[in-house]
Amino acid sequence: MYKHLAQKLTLAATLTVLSATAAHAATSNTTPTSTSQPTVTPDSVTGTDPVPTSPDVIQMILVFLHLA
Amino acid sequence: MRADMGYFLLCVGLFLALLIGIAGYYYRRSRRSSGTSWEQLLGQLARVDRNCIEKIALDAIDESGQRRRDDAAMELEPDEIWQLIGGLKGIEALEQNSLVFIDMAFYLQQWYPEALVTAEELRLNAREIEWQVSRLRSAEQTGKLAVSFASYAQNAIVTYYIMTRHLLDLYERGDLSMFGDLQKSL
Amino acid sequence: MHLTGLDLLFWAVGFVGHVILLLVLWTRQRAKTFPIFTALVGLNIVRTVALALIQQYGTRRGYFYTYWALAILDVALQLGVVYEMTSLVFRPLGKWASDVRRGILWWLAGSVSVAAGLTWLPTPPTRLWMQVVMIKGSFFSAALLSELFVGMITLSATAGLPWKTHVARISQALGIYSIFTVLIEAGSSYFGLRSDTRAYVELTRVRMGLYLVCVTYWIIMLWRDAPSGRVMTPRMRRQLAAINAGAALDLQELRSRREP
Repeated sequence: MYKHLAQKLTLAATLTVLSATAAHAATSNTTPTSTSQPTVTPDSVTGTDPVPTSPDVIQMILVFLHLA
Repeated sequence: MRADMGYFLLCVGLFLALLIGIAGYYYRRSRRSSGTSWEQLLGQLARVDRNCIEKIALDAIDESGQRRRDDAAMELEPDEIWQLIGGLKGIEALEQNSLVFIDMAFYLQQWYPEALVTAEELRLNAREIEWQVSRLRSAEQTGKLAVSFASYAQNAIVTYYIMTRHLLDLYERGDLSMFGDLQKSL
Repeated sequence: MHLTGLDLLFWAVGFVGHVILLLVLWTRQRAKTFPIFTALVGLNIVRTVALALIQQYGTRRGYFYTYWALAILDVALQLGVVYEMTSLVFRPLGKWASDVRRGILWWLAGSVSVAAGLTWLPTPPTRLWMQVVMIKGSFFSAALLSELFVGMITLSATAGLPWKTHVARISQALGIYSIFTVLIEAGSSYFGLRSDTRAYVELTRVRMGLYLVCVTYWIIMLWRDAPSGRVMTPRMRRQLAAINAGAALDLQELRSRREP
């Protein structure tokens, strides 16, 4: 019983974290006309890869809504 | 909005301080266990009357550790057990020794990998004693100690007796210079 | 995307560090014991190569999507590493220790609850509700990871379960890194810092610097062997035979006391 409960809890936590990160990836806090686009990023990611600036936010929101 | 941000920062600060504090405390505690010498562990053992322990334990189990099913089993009354063990203080001394036994098994597991199975068995028994003593304390607070004492206390004592037999067996197979000292303390 | 010399330096050093770490894991036979951790290191190498190629030959959108897709995998693997370390500490005989099962459940539930509670406190200064969800989700993952590592330390200390050397080294560094990222998340996300502000850039560089320290630590610690156990000498074996005989006599005495 405990094993199943632990598995379910772990799966729920993993899905919550992953979906939040995925939703985070879909849009960002940007201004289309700005040359230096502000971006909110998850700093819990490992590695030293440069953080990307986002593409056009309007287009991304439209893509996101279309997918939904 | 500024008040909200300030409130949030305070909560995050407290959260981080708590995490770091808890991690530091328990990390130092586990390092202390691994750095303790055999002589120091022995010194932490409280004196327990082994004859009384044996009498209470063998009222419930036989020498192999199995529950007795004969007519003469479980003859000791709660009052007699209470007298023999020295009341709640006696039980707490067993609990104190159980914590030391966990450290001893931890020490063996680190230096003698072959002792893993027995050390794990010892650790589980010691943890069971801890749990039973906590039930007794709860019973004392709710005024139900007299009812709870007999079963929890005897179970704790039986577990303690089996555990100490196993620990002596474990040290026989390991570092033997410690064996004589352990036998005297227990 | 404009990269400064320092950004490129971090990028290159990170790549070299991960390659060396992967070599250490393979050559010192640590990959078999820590497959998920090894996968995390491998992912970092693959991500760096992919992103470098996209940065050179691809589009900004391609870089963005690749970074985020692999970031999701990164977080999943970090959770996997927590599971891997937990498994190695709390399963000394191959199955979960019976006295810690309930504690582990409480630890998981508590970590998720506290992280969720902390995340839902204020609303970040953004316009779109989706951005709010994203910022909160990012903070939630950082808080959860740090709580899980601290919980592991607590549970193992109370249960009296020792950590093998390499398990401790991996967990310590990743745990410290996770705690630090909570601080950065709180600072950057909730104050609405943008990637073009100096404060955010400096915070990110500090995070990367800390991560490189962790990688260096892992390279050194995972290269070294764990302390070996002691071995019984022939003299000890002879003493054992004598003590076994003595123990048999003790048992006989116990039996004779029991007889009426």
